[in-house]
Amino acid sequence: MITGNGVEKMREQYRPVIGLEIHVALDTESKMFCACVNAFGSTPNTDVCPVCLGLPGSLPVTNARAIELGITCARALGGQVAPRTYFERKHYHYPDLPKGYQISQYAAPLSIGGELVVDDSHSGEEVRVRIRRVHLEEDAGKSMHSRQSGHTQLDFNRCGVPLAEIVTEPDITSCAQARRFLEELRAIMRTAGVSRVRMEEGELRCDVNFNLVHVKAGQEITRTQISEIKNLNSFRAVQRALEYELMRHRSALEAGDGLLHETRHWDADREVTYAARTKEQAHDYRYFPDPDLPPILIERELVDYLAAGIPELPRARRRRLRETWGIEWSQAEILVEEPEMADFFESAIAEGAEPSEACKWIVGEIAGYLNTVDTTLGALPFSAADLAALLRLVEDGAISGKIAKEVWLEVMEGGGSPEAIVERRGLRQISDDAILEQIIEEVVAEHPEAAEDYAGGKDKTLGFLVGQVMQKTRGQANPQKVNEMIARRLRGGRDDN
Amino acid sequence: MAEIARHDAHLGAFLSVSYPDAPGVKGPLHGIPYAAKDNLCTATLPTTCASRMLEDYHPPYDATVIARMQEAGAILVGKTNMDEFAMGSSNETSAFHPVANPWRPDHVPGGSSGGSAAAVAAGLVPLALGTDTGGSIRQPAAFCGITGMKPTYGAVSRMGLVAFASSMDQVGPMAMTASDCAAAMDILVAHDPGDSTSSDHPDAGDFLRRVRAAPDGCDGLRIGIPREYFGQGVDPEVVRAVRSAADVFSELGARVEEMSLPHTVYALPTYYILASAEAASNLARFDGVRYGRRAAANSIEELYWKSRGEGFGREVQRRITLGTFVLSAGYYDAYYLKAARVRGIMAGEITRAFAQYDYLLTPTCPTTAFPRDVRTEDPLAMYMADVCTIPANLAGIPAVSVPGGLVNGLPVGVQLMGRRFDDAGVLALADRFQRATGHHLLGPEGFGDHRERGGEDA
Repeated sequence: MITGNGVEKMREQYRPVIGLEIHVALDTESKMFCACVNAFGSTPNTDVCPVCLGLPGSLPVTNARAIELGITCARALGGQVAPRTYFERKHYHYPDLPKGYQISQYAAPLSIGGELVVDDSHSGEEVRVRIRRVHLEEDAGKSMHSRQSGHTQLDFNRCGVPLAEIVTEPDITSCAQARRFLEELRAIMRTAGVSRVRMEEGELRCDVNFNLVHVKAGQEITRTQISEIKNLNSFRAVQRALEYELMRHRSALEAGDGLLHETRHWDADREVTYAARTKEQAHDYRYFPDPDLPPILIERELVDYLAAGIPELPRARRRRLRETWGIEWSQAEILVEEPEMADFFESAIAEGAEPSEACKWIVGEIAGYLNTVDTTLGALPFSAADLAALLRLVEDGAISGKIAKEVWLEVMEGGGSPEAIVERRGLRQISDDAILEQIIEEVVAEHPEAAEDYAGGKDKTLGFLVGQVMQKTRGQANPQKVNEMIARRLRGGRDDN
Repeated sequence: MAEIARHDAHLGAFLSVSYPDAPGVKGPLHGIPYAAKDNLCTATLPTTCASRMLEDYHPPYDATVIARMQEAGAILVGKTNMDEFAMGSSNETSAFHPVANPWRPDHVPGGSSGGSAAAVAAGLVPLALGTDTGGSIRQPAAFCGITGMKPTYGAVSRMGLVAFASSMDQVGPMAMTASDCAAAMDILVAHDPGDSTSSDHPDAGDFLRRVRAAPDGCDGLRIGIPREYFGQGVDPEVVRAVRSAADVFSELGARVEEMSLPHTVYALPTYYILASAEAASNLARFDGVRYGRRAAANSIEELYWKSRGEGFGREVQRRITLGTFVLSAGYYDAYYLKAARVRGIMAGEITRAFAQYDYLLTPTCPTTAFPRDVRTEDPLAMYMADVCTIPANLAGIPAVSVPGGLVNGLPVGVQLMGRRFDDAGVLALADRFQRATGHHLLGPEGFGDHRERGGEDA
């Protein structure tokens, strides 16, 4: 006989084991080892010099700011920064790698250890993902292959852009969790000022390691070999590629195939992964310490100073915003994803705005507007004080919610104080009883049947009558007030549902 | 310029020549013509490293040392021949043509800065820049009977020096005398923020003054002669020349004594592992994609394979192969890592020796110049030419080779090594030797009239 516990034990399970290697572009002014500007979108091969082009005789000089951002990155993830670290050369030949090696780190990474905790918004569960290491390296150039001509064009502008590579332990157990991890990492990097993580500019790229363990009755029966999927540049691609791999590994296990340990690429058009050529897999990078760059000694004081400058991290901030201001989980999530947005929210409250209203407006109107204009909140011509002023106008009954949206759109587009706009455009609501009474008399006189119907108990007619008043006042009447006054006038306060 | 044109047809010391019309900047070296080894980047002349790979390569910038020489008023008259990518000890690996030793044209001038050494020895220029990774300034200086200085690692900027082994490469002067070298050091030595391995030298700009201010005598100086430098393969006549140099220093008041540096025997294999590893890495950039030789090919792999196959000579390919091997998975620990550790042990041993001795005196090379073609088929015999010079590169210390007389009509080199950053002391000691002897005044027959003709053996 099988007990309940026994059923649990007999259950068959396929457990994904997922580890990530994430490259994040550091937000520096200049490149990692030369004075060229760290920019995106310049004319190809204009942000280059002998150093980042690897011309004969050129020598690298480390950008101290990149080291600092690397330390900040490591500390934001709870890593232990090495007191002494150094760069190594990683050798491989590719046309967009001008020196035949990449300056990277291997035996002595900038930091080891750390942890990133992801809150699962659905289950409320905490997922703890251990960080193995964080190291620094330079980016390579870009190859653009033309399918038509068969030619490849090379752009070296990206060569030497500083990157932090973050390697996790294989602690992630689902495809959705991998995505959540990356979203959390992005929020942390932005909050700590390590990277702006503009996905469309390739500022976050991810390699994933995946394999599947077959568990039966609590015992591992077998597992597949690890697949490494290289260079995924969107969260969606990461999740989709992992889902594809889950399916592939599961079919393999069911067919009794353990698969090969291999490197694979993601085809975003067909949504499949495919094996890399064997040549790309047989890599021996022949790392050795770069003799052009002396070891870097990192003082404890510097690490502490940089760590002290890290603002409240997203997870703590989300919790605090929820607990302090009573906003929703999903709203806190949106606010904190862009630290600027959460800052704006808190400033608006400091300016006297009502928290749930402020949150609604930021998450709705402002976030929506930002999606359409391709700029940052800080670059727009309004402040949190403007939003607080707008909300005050609504609260005081000076304008309706509908008018407020109109006013706010104008503020977002061109700036200016909401009060001034309301005055200039004459949008202030009519709340003066004498004026409203007069208009209501006119409407009743013009529509005697409707007035009688309502007086006789037909509730539906009220909407029509209010609409007539609104029309006469070109939307400026206070609708709440009009409602009440019509009811009083026609039903004498008998029915104030 | 006429001298260069007349003599270089026989010598082969130059790979390119410029005809400057400007008189040069007013500076400490105002109007002094000089030549630079062809692995130093020059915006006005090609920089080939004596390789087919860079046959038509024109750098977009000047090496820091070239810029500093120009600011000091010196005039660059040409780029000198060398072993391909500075890999060689006889100048025979130059992809273009060999260099004749001015003392005996069918003998090699040494290498890899053979063109610079021959140009100075023949009187074509009073000063040339060389580079020294394992002896490439000192050994040709010895073979050609001139003075050549390898500065402390980090004293001279490497920016614009096409790298061979980055942890050992140094630019240095080659001239008739130690004091001329000191005058050049005053220009060459300076901290360069563009080279992360360059240092603030305590004597920057003060070398010539310190050399001139040094007394004629050597009272109180302790000079060690490490016996490991006199082992198998060292010509007895070379040993005799070094002994007589030791006598000169004794007479000048120094305490000269034999001592031991037991790890010296590991210098050669250690050097060839480390230097080849770094070379394989440094030369990875020459792939035919962006500059340099580009072979016709149908795929990227074929482009790499053919460009590098055609562009690099045999010796360069040999070292790339060796360097790639010693860094490979499974061999790294046994070769590269072990060699790096031995380097540390050797450097420690040398540092400790300098607690007891101020300077070390050794031969520069086990032999005098050898005839062309005799060692090209035997790389190990060729590598032996560097056995006495390599330790200074592994330890990063300054070393100078000074003429120590003639053996069978060919110059012998005597090497002096000092503590890190005691470049001025090494030069001052060499200068005292030259005040006391006339070896550096001897010159080869048939070239110019600036020196005495060579004749009597030492």
